[in-house]
Amino acid sequence: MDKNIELKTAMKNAYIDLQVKYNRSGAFDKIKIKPELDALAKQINVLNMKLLNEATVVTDGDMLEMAEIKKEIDAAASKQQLIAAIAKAVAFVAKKVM
Amino acid sequence: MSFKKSFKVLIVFIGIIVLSSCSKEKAEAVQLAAEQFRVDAVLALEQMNYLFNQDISMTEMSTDDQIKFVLAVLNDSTTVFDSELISGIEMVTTPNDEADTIEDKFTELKAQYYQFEKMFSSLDKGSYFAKDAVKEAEKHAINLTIQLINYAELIQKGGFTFTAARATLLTKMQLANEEKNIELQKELYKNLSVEVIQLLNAEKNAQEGAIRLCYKAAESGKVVTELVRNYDEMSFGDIMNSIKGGLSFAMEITNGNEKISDLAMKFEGFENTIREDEHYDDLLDKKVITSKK
Repeated sequence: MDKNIELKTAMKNAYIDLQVKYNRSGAFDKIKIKPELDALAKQINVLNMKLLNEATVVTDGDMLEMAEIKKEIDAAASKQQLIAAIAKAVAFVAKKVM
Repeated sequence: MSFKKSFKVLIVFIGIIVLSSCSKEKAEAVQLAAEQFRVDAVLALEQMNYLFNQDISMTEMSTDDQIKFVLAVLNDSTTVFDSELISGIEMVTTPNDEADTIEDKFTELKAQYYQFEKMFSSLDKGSYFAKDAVKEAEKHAINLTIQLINYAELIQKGGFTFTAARATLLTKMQLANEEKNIELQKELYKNLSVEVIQLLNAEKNAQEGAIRLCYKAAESGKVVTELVRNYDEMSFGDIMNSIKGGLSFAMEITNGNEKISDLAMKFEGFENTIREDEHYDDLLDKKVITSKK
């Protein structure tokens, strides 16, 4: 992580300096400088995304596992609701009989 | 079926109803804690999204500036009126699309916390039979929590700045430096020194705000982790105490009563506990546990 942050800092300094140059440039120089600025922004963003991905623990596989657990809980809910309904019906009948 | 047998069946069914109603409250508490975890995590991720945008920001042209820019191009005697000219004008007046890339990534990350919350959406209806499934959720509660602790560390070390504002300020400094009128220059320097302090404070507040939100969400994650781990054993009272404890600490974090460095140490302790606890050996991949090292 630290090396990427060092690299990012160097690129950010270059990006800021180029923005200052851009801010002070005439119209035609702005047209020349803007692609360089966009390219630098993209590179810095790539580094930021790399840092973010390194810090990210949850994977696509985990997302699928969570979806599976949800299915299990939903199935348990259906089962429990069915049994509770049967129990209530049995209790009702028993009450009438006893 | 004999009366005796029917009576036994009846007792079993009534038992299930009673048990279900007891654990229903516990299930609702887990649902509430998972929802809180998602709310806190989404807030933290939105603040991070803002910092990531600021980090690659570039001063955007106002409509007036855009018109001045186009006028300057048209007024230049060397201008060639062709399709390249329009492309050039479009390029300068349109912001780059990096903000979309950032937003897509954070939408993806927020979806993880929504997915976690969604897992428990019918738990209150299946509280008794879903015990094993709830235990399986523990791994994900831990991963999502550690992820937030990692993000707090990333913001602390990542050197995020309000880049466009820094460039604007440096531009003003250069212009002030070139000012021939000494009195005016002094005045410009005076104003700029205030702006520098304001900018640095704004950056610091935004970073600290994001770090605190990450730790607050991590605290909510710790609460959910504890609830799902001990779902079987905890009473409703234990669960409520755990939630209250987490909420009160979360308030301390957002009120600024806890120093960032103390928070970092506290949550590093949480990670170390997980690494050293044998319970987690089978539960988590080694890759996950050692992801930061």
